[in-house]
Amino acid sequence: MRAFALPLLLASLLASVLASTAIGSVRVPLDTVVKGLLGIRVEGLASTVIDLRLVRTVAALLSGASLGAAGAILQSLFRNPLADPFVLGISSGSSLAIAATLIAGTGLGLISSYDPQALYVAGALGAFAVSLAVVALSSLVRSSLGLVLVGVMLGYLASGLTTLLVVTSDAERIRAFTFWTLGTFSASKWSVLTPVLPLALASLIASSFVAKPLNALLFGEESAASMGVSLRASRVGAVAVSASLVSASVVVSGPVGFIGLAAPHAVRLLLRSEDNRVIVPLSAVFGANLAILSDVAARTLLSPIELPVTAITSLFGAPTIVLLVLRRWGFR
Amino acid sequence: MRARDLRIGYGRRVVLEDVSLEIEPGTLTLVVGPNAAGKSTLLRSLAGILRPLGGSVLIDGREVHRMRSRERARSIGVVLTGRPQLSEMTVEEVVGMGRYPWTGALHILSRRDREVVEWAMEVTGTSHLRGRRISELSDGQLQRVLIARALAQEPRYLILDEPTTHLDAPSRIEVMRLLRDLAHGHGVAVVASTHELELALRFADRVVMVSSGSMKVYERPEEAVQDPEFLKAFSVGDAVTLSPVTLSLEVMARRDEGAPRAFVVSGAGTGPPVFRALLRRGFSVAAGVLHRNDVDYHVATSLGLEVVGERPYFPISDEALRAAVELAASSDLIVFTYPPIGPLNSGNLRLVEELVERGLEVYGVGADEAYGVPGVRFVGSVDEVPLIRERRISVAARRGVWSGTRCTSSSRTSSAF
Repeated sequence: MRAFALPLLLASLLASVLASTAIGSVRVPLDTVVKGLLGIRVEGLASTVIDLRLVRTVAALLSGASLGAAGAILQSLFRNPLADPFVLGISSGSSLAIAATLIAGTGLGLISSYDPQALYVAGALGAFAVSLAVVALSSLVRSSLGLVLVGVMLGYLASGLTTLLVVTSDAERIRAFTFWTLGTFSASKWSVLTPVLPLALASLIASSFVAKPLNALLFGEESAASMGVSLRASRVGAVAVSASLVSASVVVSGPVGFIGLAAPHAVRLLLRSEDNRVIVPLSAVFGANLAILSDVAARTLLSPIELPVTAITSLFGAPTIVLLVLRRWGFR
Repeated sequence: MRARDLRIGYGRRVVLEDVSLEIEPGTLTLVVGPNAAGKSTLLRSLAGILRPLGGSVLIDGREVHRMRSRERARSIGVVLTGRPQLSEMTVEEVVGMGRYPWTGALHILSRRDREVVEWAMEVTGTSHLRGRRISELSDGQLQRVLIARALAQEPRYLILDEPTTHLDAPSRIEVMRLLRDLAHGHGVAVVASTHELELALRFADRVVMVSSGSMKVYERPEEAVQDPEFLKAFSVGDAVTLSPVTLSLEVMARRDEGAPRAFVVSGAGTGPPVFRALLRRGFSVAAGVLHRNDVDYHVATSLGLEVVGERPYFPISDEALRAAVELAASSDLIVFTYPPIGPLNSGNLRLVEELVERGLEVYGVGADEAYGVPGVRFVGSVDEVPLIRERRISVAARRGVWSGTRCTSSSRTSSAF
């Protein structure tokens, strides 16, 4: 299984990308899709449709991959199967920082309303701050469930503040921001995507370097320290990488829930492994897959009505959490 | 490795003070002491994962807790308590993790790394488990795998916290043997804590006792045994005895003034099972005449029995015989265990004859009646002695009353006994 996992996941990712570009209110023939993706000129309406769908497909790919990898890192770091950027409030913290930057920045004329790199930096700082808060609280809250509860509340706090910011600012800027608070791939633009893409890619590459200390941390903190892990450095490293990943995802699509939770679990089940050197990258591939398919579902299930993608991810994400809780802690 | 004037603990709470200790390669040092006395704290401080409150731990003149963790991991391997959460990892992967301080950022094992992993699995006898998942291992196997993981670091020092806790008896011995082999055969300096005193005394080259805020080092286990302070740390009152000869622990019987008294004539190992059987049945036991080099004498004194003794390799004296007769005559029960009789202990036959002559009942107890002694009534087991049989019946009857079953009137009468 282990040897087949990567080619299998990559193949299904390719299939998802093709499907995502082909399926929609206007059906585009598969050969036209392939032509379009390969950069061969496509005539007429199909060209526009392919471009529109390609943007959101790439957005979903980037966002899903980042969330998948971040989820795997967080679950390992907190040794908590329920950890996820959304569940722990990290996405919402990132979103809040982006809203604040957007409103303050454009208000003061420091940045234009779509300066993806500035927003990415702000989002990363926000995610980092919330992650550190969760790390600090995790030493106080000993139980896994307690930590999740704290994270969810931090998330509510952040989104509450975001709403407050959005409501009290003027209408022009609200419009610029609402989609970031929602979590959707429908508003994706190449102008946002292109600058963030290399940042996300760099973060994904960095994520494979935190896998080694995360593996050692499976033995417990003290044992890990005795094996040669520098605890503080590896923790800060893992938090920074996951914050950067989360931010890339939030800038592109807003806070999308549960992909970071489900992807690592699926990969672990698939591989029956806990080696983060494999789990983290494969969670990225699986997360991308999941995000693209969720997006396809979001826009086709009730077509022509388009659902927010978080509605779809919640449909499989929330039951996953309940299942995990029941399996580990049971009903008494 | 050398610890100097170490003061250790957590935050403001000092657990141990004035710790000075030197750890030599090729030795097995076992740290013993009551729970919560600071064994784990001491080991964590030596391992450099707990910062000492004062003093220092040095390896080649360098302070352990100031070393970079990667560098430290190359000289000190640590195995802590608790089952790590890596159920899905295979044994080979876990042992491979021991190469952590030697591998690059992606932890890709080189040929040399894999050779060391092989060696570590071979030494710990875990090679055949390589493909197994951690969740499938027994506690004993897991412990050996974790030791293999620490060994894969190629450490000069191996520090283990309670490596035998939660293990079954054979695994405990297996792990202790492994630790001794690592020290003696591979030149590793092994330091481990345990709360199993007997095991520690049997396996250790050196014993460190940690108790009530202080630490004491014994260069040989025998030294520890002879130190009354050492024993005190493990005793309940004065009830525990530790034999310097057999290194075994024995708990003295409680003295009960009202208990029926038994006198046992034994020798050469025939006595101890009978002593224990009588003690279990509530008797206050005395024995004689026993030579002071007889194993029966050894066990009897460890159990706190009253013993009439004789000098080693001397025939039993009249004086000892008189004392024995007196003690036996005042007992409620006299038991003879058919010891082998030779020129030096033939006095015990005279003792029995004398008791029979005085009209006292002497019961013979043993697997078979090894040889006949006139007047001795062979009954086989202690439980066949009438006095004990009656008591057992009465106890059984009482149990019947409590559990609500109907009792015959006769057993109800005997329950008044």
